[in-house]
Amino acid sequence: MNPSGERKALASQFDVIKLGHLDSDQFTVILGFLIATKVFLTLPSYITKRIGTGAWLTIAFSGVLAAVGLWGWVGWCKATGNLGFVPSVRLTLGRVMGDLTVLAVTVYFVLVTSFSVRVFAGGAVIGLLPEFPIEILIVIVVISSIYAAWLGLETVARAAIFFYPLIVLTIVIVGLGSYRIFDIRHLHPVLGMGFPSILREAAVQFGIYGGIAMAAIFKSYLRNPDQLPKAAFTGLSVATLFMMASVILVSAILPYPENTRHVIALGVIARTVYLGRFLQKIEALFTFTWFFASAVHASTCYMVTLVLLCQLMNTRTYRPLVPGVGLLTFGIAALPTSIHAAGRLLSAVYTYLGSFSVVLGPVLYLVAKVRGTEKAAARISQTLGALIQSPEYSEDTPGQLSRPQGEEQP
Amino acid sequence: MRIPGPLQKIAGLFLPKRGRSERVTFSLGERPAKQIRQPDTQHQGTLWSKDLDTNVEQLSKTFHLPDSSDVVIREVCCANPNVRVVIAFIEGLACSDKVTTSVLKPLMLLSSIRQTHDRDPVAQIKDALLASTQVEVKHTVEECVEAMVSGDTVVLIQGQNRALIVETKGWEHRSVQGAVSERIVRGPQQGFIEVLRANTGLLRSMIRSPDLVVENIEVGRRTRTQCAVVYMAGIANDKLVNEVRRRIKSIDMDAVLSSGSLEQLIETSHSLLPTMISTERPDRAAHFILEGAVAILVAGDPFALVAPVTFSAFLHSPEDYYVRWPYGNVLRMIRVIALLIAVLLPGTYIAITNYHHEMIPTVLLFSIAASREMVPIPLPLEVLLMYFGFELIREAGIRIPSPFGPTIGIVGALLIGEAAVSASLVSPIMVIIIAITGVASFTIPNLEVGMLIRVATAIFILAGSLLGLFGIVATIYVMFCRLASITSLGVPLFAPIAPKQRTGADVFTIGPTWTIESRPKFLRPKDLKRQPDIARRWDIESHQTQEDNQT
Repeated sequence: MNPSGERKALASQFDVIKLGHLDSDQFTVILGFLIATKVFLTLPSYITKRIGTGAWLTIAFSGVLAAVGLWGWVGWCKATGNLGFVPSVRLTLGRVMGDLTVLAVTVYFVLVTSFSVRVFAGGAVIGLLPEFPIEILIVIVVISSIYAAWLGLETVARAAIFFYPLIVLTIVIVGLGSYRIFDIRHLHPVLGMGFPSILREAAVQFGIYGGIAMAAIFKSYLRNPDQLPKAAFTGLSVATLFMMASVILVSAILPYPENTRHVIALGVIARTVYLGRFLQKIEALFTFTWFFASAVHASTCYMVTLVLLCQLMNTRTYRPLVPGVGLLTFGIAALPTSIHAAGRLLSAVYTYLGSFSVVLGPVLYLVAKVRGTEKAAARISQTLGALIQSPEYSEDTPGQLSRPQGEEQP
Repeated sequence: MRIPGPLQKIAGLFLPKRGRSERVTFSLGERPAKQIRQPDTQHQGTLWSKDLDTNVEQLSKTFHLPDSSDVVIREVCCANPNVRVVIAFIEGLACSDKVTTSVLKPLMLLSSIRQTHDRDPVAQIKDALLASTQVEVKHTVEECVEAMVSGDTVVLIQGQNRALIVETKGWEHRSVQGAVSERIVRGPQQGFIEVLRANTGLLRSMIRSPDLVVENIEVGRRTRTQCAVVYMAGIANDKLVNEVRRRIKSIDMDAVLSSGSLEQLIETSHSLLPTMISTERPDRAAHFILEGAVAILVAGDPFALVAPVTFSAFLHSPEDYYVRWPYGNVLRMIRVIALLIAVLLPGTYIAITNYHHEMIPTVLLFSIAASREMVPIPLPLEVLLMYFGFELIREAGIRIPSPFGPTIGIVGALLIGEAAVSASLVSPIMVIIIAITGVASFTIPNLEVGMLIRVATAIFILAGSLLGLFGIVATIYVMFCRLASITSLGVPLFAPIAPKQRTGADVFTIGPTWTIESRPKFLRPKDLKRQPDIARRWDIESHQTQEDNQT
């Protein structure tokens, strides 16, 4: 094989789909969305049921564990340079182990998407449209989310940046609107069922941070890769604070154990908000927050899944996979018989696959250090860099998200 | 076949020596001259002959004489130099007075009394006789044809294989008037007209800088429409200008007659929302040019296209800059609220009254129920009916001759609405909802965004009817994602909000003029700073503050 052909072969192996680039703010926001904005609605009741008034501390300790995991991911990203996620895993663990590992991460994201969509659709049927078949709502959520994913990574990031303040604002309004029934004493006892229980539960629940793998999956799509650690840790911190705030809000308004009786306790709180005589019972408006959070979360998960599948299959375009992934999600989402069943499955996915996703980062980092992956990655990155600069290289493939010729931002 | 009379000589020139003469000469759509004459390497096109008759025939054939009635080819005698001269121009495009005073009079009257020592008759006529600001020598038929269709007069001289082109443009056009679709109360009242040069002149009169570049590009194989790409050389990004230039030059169409067609030919997006602003106000175009955008003017169209733009620009009106900035902000806020009302009100009304009654206070709910008691049709159908009726009145108001238009609008709104309520076809609340929606849609200063709003309202009506607030939210999400994916010449439509960028105080709100110090960053202008930190140099206090900061 001539040198040019060799380089092209390398490129086909290591440099798959082009999605455009994210800046660090966008990266922070979509990481925060991926971790927090889906679970913040259902998390308070779920976590307080297990650990009582000390639930918010559980979140904090889980966050610390997740930060350790993220440290591993960030270190591994640095060790593997600007290679794509799947090529990096293959380089670190070998082809077979690497592919199996990536497959497990992919399954995690597919399941999280499906069960989250099911929980949301179930909630919408209960709270908004009691007469509606749930399958229609699932289809609508899947189609709208996957449409955003079809439009591309940057679109998802822009949507996230736009809707994030709206979601935070809604929560703030609900919090302020319910100040009459807010009572800090409901958080007593602070340690709930005791400090050991909090730590034990934190060690089980840190799987809710499984989304931090996104930091590594999108590492090659960052406009400035040097900002990855800062952006990732900021995203994690924001998500942790957001989840803690929602747990504290619910616990302080609805005393334990009342807050464990509602699947979506924040929605119940929203019902108590009184905004004067003209507009009453704003929980329907809460749909906006919930839908945007779910849709952005699902779109991001789809994007992650598509990136992983494309890199696994060494394909340069992701769009042909979009309908398939959508159908798969719909099929899995339609399986649970009730919102509670979906919630239990989601919890199991977080506990096992989510924890795996968090732990995987430090493991990969250690293996990379032991095997000296850094040098090999640097060599390949250099070759790829030269190839991309060369005039014979073209990335014009339908469906990929690099800007078309001439559409470059000036 | 026998070639008739005067054409015989020309045909003889062009025909091959043996055979096929008839077929070549009379085949439709072919130009023998182009096929047989050797192309000139220095001057691209068909060269003029030294024989005047040949040249006249060539011109006659090109303009399909005698079928074309507005093409005038007239022979005159010039006394000094003593030669036959033919002038050709297109009546209606060339100004008769200019032709008479600049061409005919000098050739017919002055030539007999003026003595020149130049032996070259072309130079003699050009330099000593023709009294026009612009006279050029051209060597090819195509150049002269192009000049004629632009309103100039061609002067052909016996024994010369060159032609003179005299500037005599002067077709009828309306004078500069106010902008019809973008009226404002305070500020300049001029609008673009159909004449390209007048429009570029209007821009030049506002931006008196040598950096203002007006590049002419021709589009349309048959229409040869002149377009002007206007930008500030020291501000606009080179990549942006090159891209606009590349897109326009690469258009391969037979006819481009308006800025609307050109817009579709150069924009990337296939969305309902335009990615360029079309404005008929020179001051607005100048404002964008000074920010670093590029304006495109098309001959024969009173609208300028401006690109790249962002979504917020569609909600801006030139008046925002002409009134005091707090009022400008109020106007902008009103427009944003009006946009939300126009798009969401009917759909949300259906969603809440049909699916989420608990949101409405009980008294209001009873009132709505009572008003709908006698209405036999379901709520979504009622809304669609009223909305369609309103659109009918709006469309009819535009098409009906102007003396009746406003009357029809008022009569339609008052009488038909009143009659519909009396007949219990619609409820009074529905009339109010649709009226508010309609009025709100008129506040948007961009025509095309107004059209998008009309479509979007209908979509939200359907979404609210089918799925309540859930449908409304899902549609908002999908619509937002679609819009967020659109770029205008590489600039995201929702910049500088998504993606977030730091920029001056002129996005959805507007600050005092002196605080808008930088140009929009998303345009990547060569010169980001619009003004120094202290623009009001008379303001001693601000100077003092600056000095304090420095110390």
